[in-house]
Amino acid sequence: MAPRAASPETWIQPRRKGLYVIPGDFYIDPTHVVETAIITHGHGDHARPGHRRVVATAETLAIMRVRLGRVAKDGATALRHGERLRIGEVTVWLAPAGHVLGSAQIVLEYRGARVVVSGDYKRRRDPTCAAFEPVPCDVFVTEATFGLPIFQHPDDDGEIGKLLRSLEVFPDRPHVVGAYSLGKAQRMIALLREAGYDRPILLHGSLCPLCALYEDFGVELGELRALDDRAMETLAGEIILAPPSASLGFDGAEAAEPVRVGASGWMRVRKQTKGRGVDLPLVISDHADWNEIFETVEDVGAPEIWVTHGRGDAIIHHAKTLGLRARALSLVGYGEDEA
Amino acid sequence: MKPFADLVDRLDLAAHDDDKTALLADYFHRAPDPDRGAAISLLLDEVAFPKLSPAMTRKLGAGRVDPILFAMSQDFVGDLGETTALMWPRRASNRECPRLGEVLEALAGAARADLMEIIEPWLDTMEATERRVFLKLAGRRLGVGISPKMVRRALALLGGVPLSEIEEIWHAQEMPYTRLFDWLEGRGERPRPAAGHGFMAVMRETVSRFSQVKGVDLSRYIVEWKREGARVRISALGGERRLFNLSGDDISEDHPDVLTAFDAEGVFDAVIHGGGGGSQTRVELLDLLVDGSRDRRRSPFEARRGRLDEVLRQLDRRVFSLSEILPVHDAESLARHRADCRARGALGLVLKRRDGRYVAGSNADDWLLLRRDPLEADLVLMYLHHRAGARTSVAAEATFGAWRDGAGGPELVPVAKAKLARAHDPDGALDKWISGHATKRFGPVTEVAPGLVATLAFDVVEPARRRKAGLFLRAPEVVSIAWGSPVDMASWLEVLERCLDQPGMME
Repeated sequence: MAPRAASPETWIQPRRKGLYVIPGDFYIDPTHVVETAIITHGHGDHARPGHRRVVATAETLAIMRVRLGRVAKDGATALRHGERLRIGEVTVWLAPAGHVLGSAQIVLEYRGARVVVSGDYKRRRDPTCAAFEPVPCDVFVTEATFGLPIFQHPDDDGEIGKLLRSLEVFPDRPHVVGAYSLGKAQRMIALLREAGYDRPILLHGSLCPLCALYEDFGVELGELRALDDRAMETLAGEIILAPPSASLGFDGAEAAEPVRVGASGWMRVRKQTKGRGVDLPLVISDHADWNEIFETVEDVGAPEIWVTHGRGDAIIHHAKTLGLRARALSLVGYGEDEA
Repeated sequence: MKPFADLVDRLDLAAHDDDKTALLADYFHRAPDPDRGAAISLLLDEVAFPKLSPAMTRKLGAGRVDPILFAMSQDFVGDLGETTALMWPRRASNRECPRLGEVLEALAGAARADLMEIIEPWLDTMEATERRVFLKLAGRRLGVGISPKMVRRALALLGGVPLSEIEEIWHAQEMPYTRLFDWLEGRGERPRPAAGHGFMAVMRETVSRFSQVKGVDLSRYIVEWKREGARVRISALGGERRLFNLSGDDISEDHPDVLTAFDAEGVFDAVIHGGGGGSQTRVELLDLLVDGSRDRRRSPFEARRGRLDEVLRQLDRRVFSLSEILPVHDAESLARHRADCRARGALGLVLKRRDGRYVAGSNADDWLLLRRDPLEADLVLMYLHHRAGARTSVAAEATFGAWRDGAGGPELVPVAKAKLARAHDPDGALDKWISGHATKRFGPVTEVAPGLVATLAFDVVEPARRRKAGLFLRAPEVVSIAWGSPVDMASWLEVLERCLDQPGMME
């Protein structure tokens, strides 16, 4: 890097509307309406409607179109991974973040300094999206959703095995998997398919559009069926995916009570599991766990990290014991997906 | 260890006994011997071994992790053992994760001083779930609510045999239950029921509601008081007399006077009370299992009870008595006697079927327990004890207080702690009220301004010298939130004090 690189905190600042890049006059994942927004991925808390101009991957723009209708008032720019774009005095390019379909890290280059805003990311294999690529940088901006050392996600296949086993133990009960409609739902389906589960999977209506979109982008999900008004007893032993908040009307006296399956990183902690009324917790997360956050910091070789949303205190404390510079950006308004 | 850990992890979240039974049966089907036998012993807490204390757990963790990260993590997780299990940084280990049978064997033979040395290397061989369950197990607090009955039902499911076939031989079986599994999986003969001192379980009452009981044909039942005291089995066979508690432990040494005075032959079900502070120990006989050497458990209750009358005549009446038969013939007289329970110092009523057999455990509806009505008081919400990580104020423990005259006017003193559940807050109004009226926070405890009254049901007021109020309410439960009820109309401490020695008050 050039010896007189501009110190990143002088040109990137957390503001009320989100993370602002001064020499490019744009925001990253703004929580309020702005002129120019670069969007890391399509989750509602990162991709908000109403901006004038939006830059993101083609997949993220397509997701925004499905969820929000119009993406941007004046125009949306699709960037391929690695493709350079000059905005003001800043060079911007994207690299895969491995979080959900289309998710990207935003690489910012200005006066010899490179900052990577990773958005939400994970490091393990996900059959539904491109894998995270580490980009060497001067400052790595990381999320901290699971920023405590208690969060060490187990292997996916063991967790999927628990669900398949439960179908054998409770063959008369539907298994309702609470899964966020973008990302987690499709990943659960893909993991079940990889584990050899080939029955049709039933979907709560709100999950259908995004599953169709994933298939348009070439992600195979097998046979899916929308949940109709069928009598619940015909759902015995089926897997049903629904948003965690959805109420499915399993109140009929005749129907077997469903097994409520949770699939998120929070499922590792008992009180979280119990608070969410889950019978079968699966620790399957779309976010980096504690070890993966620090592996990533090492992979990108950044001497300095900034922590955005989640549990920053522990990360900053540990980063300092590792001899890194670390600061909290205290951005608000993120972390609304089911992790 | 892993199959057992997965089992416990799911049992912990299972709401219904049927689910627990299905999960147990699945585990028995998959786990090998002697692990599954060890699992039964652990789930039923049958084996004694030195307990891993919280201090030892803390010490184990302190050797491995940054104290600041540990504190932050525990703040989020809550439980010490769980925090230790989840954040445990593994060292490379060339050992394999121990099997449950090995774990139990090693722990059962361990001295307390060696416990940490045994446990630490094991933790390195385990995954998070196994460590969490293992630390609970080592702390002897698995706490997943498995009753012997659920285990027997799961075994019946495994072998496809009637439950009664398991029950008859259950008490002759011991860890690791290999002969039982051999039989259930078709590899061996059915084990024989054993006789003698140790193998007779007491019959348990099925707790019932008044609405369920008032409809039954009461002429088919004998009704007795349910007395406070310890349930025991007196076993006097072949000149040897012994006393067992409900778990089957021999407690003969605690009551030598009773055994000396017990001049009869057979096995008896009884309740024992008194004996402390020089007072006379009293024994109320409830039932007769073995008469002389003859097993009477299959005789009708009425016949057994008749024999009991005869036996009592030869016993010292200062020590021994027989439960009184109450003149109950319809729902009205049943209700009258139930209302009389407090005045008579009874915990409730027991209805025993005249033609019922003596059945071990509580699987039969031949004995129905009707608890006395709870007392009620209107109390003021004072504090909430949040569970770490909980999203709402509801689903917390709450402290409730009563008024008393303080130096500066009326003040609240805590008298009961009870759970608040979602059911108390169907529309979120309670959660909202709490967040709007919080005055102070001390860690997980939130203080709220006095403004909300709840009706609590409780069994009895008990003295408690070390508490500020000098008393506490036993078994309190929140019945309902009394929205709109003015706080100054809530109970005064002196009213509760008056109930201390007068169980009939407040009704």
